[in-house]
Amino acid sequence: MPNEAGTTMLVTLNVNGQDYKVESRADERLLDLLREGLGLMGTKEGCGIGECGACTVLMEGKPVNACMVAAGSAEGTRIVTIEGLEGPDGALHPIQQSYIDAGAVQCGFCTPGMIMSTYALLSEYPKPTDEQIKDALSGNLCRCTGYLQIIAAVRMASEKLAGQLGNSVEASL
Amino acid sequence: MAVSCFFLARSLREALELLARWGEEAQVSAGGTDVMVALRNGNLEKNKTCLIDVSRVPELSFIRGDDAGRSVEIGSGVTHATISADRLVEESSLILGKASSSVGSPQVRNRGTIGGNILTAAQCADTIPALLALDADLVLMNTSGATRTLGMEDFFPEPKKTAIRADELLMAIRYPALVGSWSGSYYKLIRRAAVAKARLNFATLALLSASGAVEDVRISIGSTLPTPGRFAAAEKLLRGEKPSRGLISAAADACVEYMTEKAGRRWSSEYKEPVVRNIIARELAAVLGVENHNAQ
Repeated sequence: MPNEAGTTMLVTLNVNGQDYKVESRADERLLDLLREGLGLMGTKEGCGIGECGACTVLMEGKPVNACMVAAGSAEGTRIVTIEGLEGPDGALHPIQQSYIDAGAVQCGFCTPGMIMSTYALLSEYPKPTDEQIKDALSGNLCRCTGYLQIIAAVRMASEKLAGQLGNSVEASL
Repeated sequence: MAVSCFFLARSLREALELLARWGEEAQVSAGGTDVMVALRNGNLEKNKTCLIDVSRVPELSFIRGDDAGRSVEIGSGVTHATISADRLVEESSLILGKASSSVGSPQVRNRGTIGGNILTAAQCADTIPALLALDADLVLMNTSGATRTLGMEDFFPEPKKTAIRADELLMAIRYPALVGSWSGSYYKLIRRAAVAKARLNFATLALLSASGAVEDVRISIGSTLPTPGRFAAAEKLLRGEKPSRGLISAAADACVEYMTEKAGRRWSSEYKEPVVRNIIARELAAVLGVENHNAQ
């Protein structure tokens, strides 16, 4: 950064608490940088046009569609992906465990994005109402579950976490 | 030609310098929610080879009122998430916050900006009808630092085109604050509640005088006209009159007539005509305080 025509650029960013310098092309998306540049395959590409939310990651603590963010736009930012949620010992995050326990994972393709949106929601509203849950997940499509189990999973995670995500998205990292 | 360079502007000066240097080849991008999708789909204009990201330009990121409380200015780089949560916007516009909150999804609202919504100039843009009803002006700055101001209605000379020049940045959106007992409504007709394009979006503002007559009224309906605009004939019919069901019905007819005059009869007319008539009547009834005969 910055770069000249035809060359690749180096994007400096923090992903899941670790600093990286990643070579990337001018027309690359954050999604490509994460999956191809860093090998973090947890973030999925569904529609590629910002409608399904499968590629949801947190950018500066806020959920964004990684397919709609240029790789270069992530320069200097803190990104959290689904890989960033598990504990140092590989234990599942309470939100991940709640999705399993509630039967909210069927084919699983939407799950990483759903969980990142859930994480953002519970960081801001530890005890969300059903309306807040539905609004927070309104950008994430699931074609399997019919959403009821997902909403149940969010409620379960909310109880388990009992506000421990606080207002800081990085609190549990 | 493919996009082969990318720059992240950190200041207005840097953004203008990049724009001056890359000229017609520059594609300015803020949140990227339209530009990155166009890039993926091969829909960027063919000569655009250089992305200039202005999302971190501090000079484009502000919401402020003037000291007298008469006008509000919003930087073009402010996201829909910020606008929909802003109290000054809510109090001074009544409808812009709701328009911004109806954009896409939380993910899209966290990145997408009001400036981008205007410049993409989509028929179904959620904020454009609201800004038209608010009599908003757009402030543009060129690469020499000169500014000009254009009214919303003059900003869309042709369908999906705007009046911005290749050497200009959209700096801000400015509108007169609604002072007094205005009523407003914003209604987005949509197939599902999120991440869907508006079929139609209705922005309506009204101010009644002490005697109960219509002092001012503004109507804008997205996806009805070839280029975004207001429904002047219907507004004129209402102004100065005492609101009644009959008057509202006549104004709704005038809206449909104007839509047909401007857009012609099309495949969608059979749907749009009754829907526009009924919904605008309902919205007008709400802002004018008249019981709505169409209420379901």
